[in-house]
Amino acid sequence: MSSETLVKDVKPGLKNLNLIFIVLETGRVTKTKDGHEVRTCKVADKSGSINISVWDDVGNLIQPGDIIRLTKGYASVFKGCLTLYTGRGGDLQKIGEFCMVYSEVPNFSEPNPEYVAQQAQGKGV
Amino acid sequence: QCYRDLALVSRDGMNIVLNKINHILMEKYLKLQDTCRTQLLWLLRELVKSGVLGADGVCMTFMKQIAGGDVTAKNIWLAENVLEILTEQREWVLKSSLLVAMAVYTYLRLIVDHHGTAALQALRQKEVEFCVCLLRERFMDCFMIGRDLVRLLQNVARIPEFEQLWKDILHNPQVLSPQFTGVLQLLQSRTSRKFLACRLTPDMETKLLFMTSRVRFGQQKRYQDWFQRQYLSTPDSQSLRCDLIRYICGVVHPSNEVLSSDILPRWAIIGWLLTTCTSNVAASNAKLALFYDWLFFNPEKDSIMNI
Repeated sequence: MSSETLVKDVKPGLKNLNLIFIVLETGRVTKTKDGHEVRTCKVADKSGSINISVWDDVGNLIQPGDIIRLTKGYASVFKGCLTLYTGRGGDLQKIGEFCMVYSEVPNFSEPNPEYVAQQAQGKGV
Repeated sequence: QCYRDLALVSRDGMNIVLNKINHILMEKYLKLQDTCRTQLLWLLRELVKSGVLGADGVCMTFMKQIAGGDVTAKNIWLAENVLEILTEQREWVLKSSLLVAMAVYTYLRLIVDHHGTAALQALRQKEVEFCVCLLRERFMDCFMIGRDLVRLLQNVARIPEFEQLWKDILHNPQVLSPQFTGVLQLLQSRTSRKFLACRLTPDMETKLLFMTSRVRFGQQKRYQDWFQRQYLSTPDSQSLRCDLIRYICGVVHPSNEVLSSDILPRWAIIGWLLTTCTSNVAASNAKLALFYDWLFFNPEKDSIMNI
């Protein structure tokens, strides 16, 4: 079993990511065209913070302060921002709450002009 | 039937059973379903009735799960049911001075929260009778609590039974015990950590200890918000601040290493607890809680870390 990736090492296109992070904020729910609900949450570990997009029920259950293990996640760029997702066969498991030290900066989901450029050139995901 | 079998088979005075129960209570109580909680209480009652050594410890662990400042149904259910066991088994309770003191400390504190509805009033009355009874019958066991006993008694002083008790404490201390010389004697006695800690649930302790040992100064805002949302968000919960402050002053004594680091200092947590209080009464009680050890400080007996 591979050890966990740190937030700072998450790059677009990476798959099979295992991370442990603490949830800092949960955003508002938005409805997708195919009737699902999606929520963006800001999560962090000691190396920085990043956004994760969570669908449906899971999104409603996640609370700020939850410590979560993501398995088989992947990262991609959405509207110029690096975002984490749970992949097929992957999972989000709450393993604790509160007792995890984190750093909110750097925020790796800040709009990154490099990523936008990569997308425009057909590189990246 | 299962209990009878268990008691017959046990060769270690039920030690493993007791340890397991304490472990479950301390680590998992919050996650237990209602039927499990009921079963555990039933088991406690059986242990007490059989006079198993160590059942008083389980009693105290149960009392610790009763959250201060929380009048939700489940918490009240626990307060009521533990009280029922203690009242029913009075003779057994009287055998353990520590249990007497812990029970008085616990329920004197909880009385403050139980008001407003008829059901809570009824519970309060039972708690009042229970405490006054133990205080009058075993005053020197309760004396063991030290100066925080005065603080707790002050908070309930307007209740008639306690008003009467106060008159005796102030004007006729020997009535309570020949060894009791008066309130000053009590105020000069420092309250042990085990009492200050018993009014925080394991989860509260875990989170506060995490804040004072791992969180760096400047990084505490989110943790404070999460703690506040969970434990300090209702008007009834403001009374918890006193218990938290007494805990920080008396139980959390960081090592020199932590003190000289950039870890969140105690004064910052206390500042947060005082400034976010939404009730004037609770705020003034909280401030008193902060100064309590300072008011009666005796360099020979008290620890400077308490002030």
